[in-house]
Amino acid sequence: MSRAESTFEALVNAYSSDLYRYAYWLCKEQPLAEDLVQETYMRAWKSLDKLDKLESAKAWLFTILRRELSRHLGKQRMDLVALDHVTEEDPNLFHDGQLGKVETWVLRQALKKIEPQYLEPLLLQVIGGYNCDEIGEMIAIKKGAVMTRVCRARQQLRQLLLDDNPTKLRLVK
Amino acid sequence: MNCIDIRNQLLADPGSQDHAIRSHLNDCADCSRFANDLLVFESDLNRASKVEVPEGLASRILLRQRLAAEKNRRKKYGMATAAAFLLSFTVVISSFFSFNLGDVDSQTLEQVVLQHINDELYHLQDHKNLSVQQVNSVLKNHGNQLKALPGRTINYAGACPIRNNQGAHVIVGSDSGPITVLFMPGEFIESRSHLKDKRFQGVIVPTGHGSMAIVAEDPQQIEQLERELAAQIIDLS
Repeated sequence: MSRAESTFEALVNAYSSDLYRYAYWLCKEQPLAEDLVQETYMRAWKSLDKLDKLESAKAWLFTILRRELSRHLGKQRMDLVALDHVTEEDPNLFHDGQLGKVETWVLRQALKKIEPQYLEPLLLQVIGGYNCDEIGEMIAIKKGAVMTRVCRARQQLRQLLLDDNPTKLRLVK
Repeated sequence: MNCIDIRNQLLADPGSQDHAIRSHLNDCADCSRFANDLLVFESDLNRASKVEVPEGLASRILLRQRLAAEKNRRKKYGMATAAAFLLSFTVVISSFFSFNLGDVDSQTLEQVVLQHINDELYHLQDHKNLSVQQVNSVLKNHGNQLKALPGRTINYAGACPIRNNQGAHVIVGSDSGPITVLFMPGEFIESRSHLKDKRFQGVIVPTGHGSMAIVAEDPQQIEQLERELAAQIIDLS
């Protein structure tokens, strides 16, 4: 295996799950999300020699994925994805965690209802682990705008959870 | 910053370690509770965002990459092979043309004649004893006909390319060895000229359709045959 191939394999193992989840929440379709991630990695493989630093690989992959998503959405801007596309999921698909299955399902349904322009920076923060400065660079907006958007995203989430399930969620009191 | 500002800051960055925020949280119980609740919510959100990744996704990506890499390697190998073949082909063809055409074009007519004879030395071994009619069947396309060559044997007669034209190659016997006569239509010269290499000597004389070379190892035979041919050749032009 060449050095490029071993680097690529490491990038797949390290980031493909995060990229898939990011794609899934933005396109809200499992097959499309997988296609987007595969396309992202194929593009990354073809231009792996352009990756200057391995440390910036994750952000680079996220940026490629954003472009892929925009390409797939065609003329539709990413922040205009119709909420009609949101599909209902079986709560049993979710991982068990601190939250119960139903609570997780409710939280995810709320997440799907967040306006895309607020959802994207929130996902980059929650899934990508980026700070507001880094997100601003990635989606080409100022840090202040990023802070406003993620703040509104969380406010919308809280409000949706309060409206839909005032008694089931422990946080929003 | 007031409580609203602090809470907005926390909503934008729940784990913020900003000094002003930390200081406010130390002094404000409500905001501190808000911050703690937000951290719990953040943990739940983080967990909720982790939808199940399709099984084998990483393997499928790696497989696709390896297939693409293999295809690319094959393509590069194929292109390299094709390029090498094309280069070799070009070199061979270029060499062929530069040797057979380029050099011929740059050669004098005398050099062309001598090279032609040396390239076809095996005709000097022919003893076909051809009739005049047989010779004329070769010559008829070149504007010349032979009436007769009394006392001579004609050992070979055949069409052959002379530079860019079709000529005729005739071998006439003599007591001191074969004499080559090349009829060269289109190879016009102003006057009779001599040619010579290590083995052969000869002359090139003008004819109505171009020129004619008479070449032999024994020079004494050349002028004699030249005179005979001058008397026996009918120029059909």
